[in-house]
Amino acid sequence: MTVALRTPAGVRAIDLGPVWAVYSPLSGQTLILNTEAVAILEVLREEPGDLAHVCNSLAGDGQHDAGEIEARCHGAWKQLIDAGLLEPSAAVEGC
Amino acid sequence: MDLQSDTTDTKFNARRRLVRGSFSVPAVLTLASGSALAATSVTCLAKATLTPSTAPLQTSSGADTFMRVQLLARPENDPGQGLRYLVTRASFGAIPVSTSFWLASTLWQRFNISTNQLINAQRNIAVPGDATPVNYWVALRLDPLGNIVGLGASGSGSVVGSSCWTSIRTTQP
Repeated sequence: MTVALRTPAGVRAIDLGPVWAVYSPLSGQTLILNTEAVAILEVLREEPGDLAHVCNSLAGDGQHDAGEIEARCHGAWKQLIDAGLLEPSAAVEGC
Repeated sequence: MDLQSDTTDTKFNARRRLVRGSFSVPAVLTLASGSALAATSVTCLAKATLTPSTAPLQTSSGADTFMRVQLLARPENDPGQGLRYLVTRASFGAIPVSTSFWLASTLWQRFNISTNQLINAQRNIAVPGDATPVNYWVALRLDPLGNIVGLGASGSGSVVGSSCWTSIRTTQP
């Protein structure tokens, strides 16, 4: 069983062109994210889920390989949690 | 854009961009907060006092890299004997003065411009009325906490220059 994560209410993102400035009300921090990281937040704002869920969604968007995306997202996943940009939503069955 | 409440047109902007390109490694970069920078700047003063240094007396207030205060001067008691110089507590402004350097009651002290040092006793009487500012400037020396603990070649601590000026601590008037 894995924990579904979601993007907390009140997270704000401002498009700065090549990057985004993203504010977390949980940590009080403003961070700089690239488009890929913001895309993860968008997926989990619409529907809570785990990393596999996010990667499947993003893979469907661009006809990418979900496994390849997941391999690239592992590092950022923990960073997003630590930064207060993701929070537990509910327990769901793992993928 | 508020990810929680914005319109559909804007909230999918990031994902739409990905469709057009390859998927790179997501990046999360932390910005340093102002308070963290301020805390870091305080260590500048602490570092300066690890290798204490002095600075010579300056005869100009312009383009100096050290924090200095201006001396006052008054005629020597014997006419024709030149000037005697002094530094006053008032010249320190709101920068705290350590009692290990000057007693709390000290208002001024004589200063020797040849040796760049304080001389004679600390004075707790009013600054002489005939003392006027002159074009001599002595560097302050501070301890790691930002207290004045020396002047010129007198006392301890280190002179404060360049970015360490931001470490200066002031007391409420």
